[in-house]
Amino acid sequence: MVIKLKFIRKNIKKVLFTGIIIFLLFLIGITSNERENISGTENIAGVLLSRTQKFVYNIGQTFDNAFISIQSIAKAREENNALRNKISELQQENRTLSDIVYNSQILKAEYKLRMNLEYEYTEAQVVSKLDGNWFDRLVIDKGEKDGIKKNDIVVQASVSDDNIVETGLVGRVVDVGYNWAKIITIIDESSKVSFRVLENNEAGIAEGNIDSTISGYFFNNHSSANEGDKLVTSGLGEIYLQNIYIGSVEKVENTNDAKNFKLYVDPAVDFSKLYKVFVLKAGR
Amino acid sequence: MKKVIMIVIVILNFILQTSLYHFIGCFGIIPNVSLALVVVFALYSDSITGAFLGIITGLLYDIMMIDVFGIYTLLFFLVGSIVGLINEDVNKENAFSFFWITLISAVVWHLLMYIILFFLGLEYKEITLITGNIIFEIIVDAALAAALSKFMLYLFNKFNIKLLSRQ
Repeated sequence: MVIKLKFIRKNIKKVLFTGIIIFLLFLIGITSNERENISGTENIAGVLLSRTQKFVYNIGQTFDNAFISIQSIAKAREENNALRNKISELQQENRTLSDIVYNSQILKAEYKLRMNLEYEYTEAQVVSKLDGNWFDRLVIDKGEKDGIKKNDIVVQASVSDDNIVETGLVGRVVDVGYNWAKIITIIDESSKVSFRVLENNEAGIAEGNIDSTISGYFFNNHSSANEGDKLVTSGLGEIYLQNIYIGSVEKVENTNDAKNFKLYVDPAVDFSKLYKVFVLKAGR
Repeated sequence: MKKVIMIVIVILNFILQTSLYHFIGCFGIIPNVSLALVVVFALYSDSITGAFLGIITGLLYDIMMIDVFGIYTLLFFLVGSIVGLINEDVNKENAFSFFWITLISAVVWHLLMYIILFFLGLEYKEITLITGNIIFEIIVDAALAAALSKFMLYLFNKFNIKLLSRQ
């Protein structure tokens, strides 16, 4: 016993070094399975830091916006005209589609169902990002006090007449603090989303890639899709809510393996320019 | 006082790293200034201070950014403590020493990150897609560390604090 103590005293630095490494490896092991709540210490640190991060993020965003504004003044008029033409085109398309929907009983029923699918939501701001080579994570400025829960869905959207028009899936909440929450984005390597192709109803899994892109494969080997087809969440797995727009098919590749066709997806959300997001309270 | 200032700089840099640097990153590369700072401070102090600064930096990442606790703490702790061990053998007046040590530290840091994530079940089959980015980032980190080594000497001198033992 005395000899052991002498050894420890003599090699205190080495013992501490090894002890810390073992302890951290142990921590990594036990927290790698999703935990229910973050610890009190993490929460306090998060509360203190997230406010400062929000302040700094806003400064960066303001300068970024100013820079983009200066760059785009020349393009604004041209874009304005193009958008006006696009609105007219979409209004025309909308009239045609409404005509089709109301002439079909099945589509009419589904349309009514969709219109009633309204989730409670909270508007949030991105306060920090971890978009290095290994992770694609975000932190937002809303947490427990705003009713955010683990696994709530985060989307990018625009607001009109008190309704939100969702423009694309961002990710889901993985940890919640008092006034902050961690988000895993759908382009993160560890992210998986079950999807449905709007055009042919074929289903599969879309996963984030290391280069911050999204690819996917079908459940059924014989299924395929065309470039430009739109993907929405299928709701399978009960993590993501149904019918949230993920993005469009950029490329379809025959992989010659069991998974057959591999899809490359162009996400609806520009993750490099995320600022305001909406957290849908799924109530699960 | 010297250690307190180092801790404050590490925390301030973490806030800037996660909230600001991605606005100014070029060619999609966001330099890991946190790593460069841990290496520079570990070389200007000792292995215990290096390890301590590494733990603080890693804890900030683990607490604020990711849901698995300990990955960043382990990596920054290893870099801080090992670099701190060799501080007496390094010519700290030569910025190239900082460049090479940061370069090696960053390579080890990314290799260990890959190994840990692999054992956590993330296979990273298409790792080659980001190899170029990582190499570019490592070079930028090393160049930053060389510049930071001089800047920190200047900054600490302003506070009348000795960074080099012979000062």
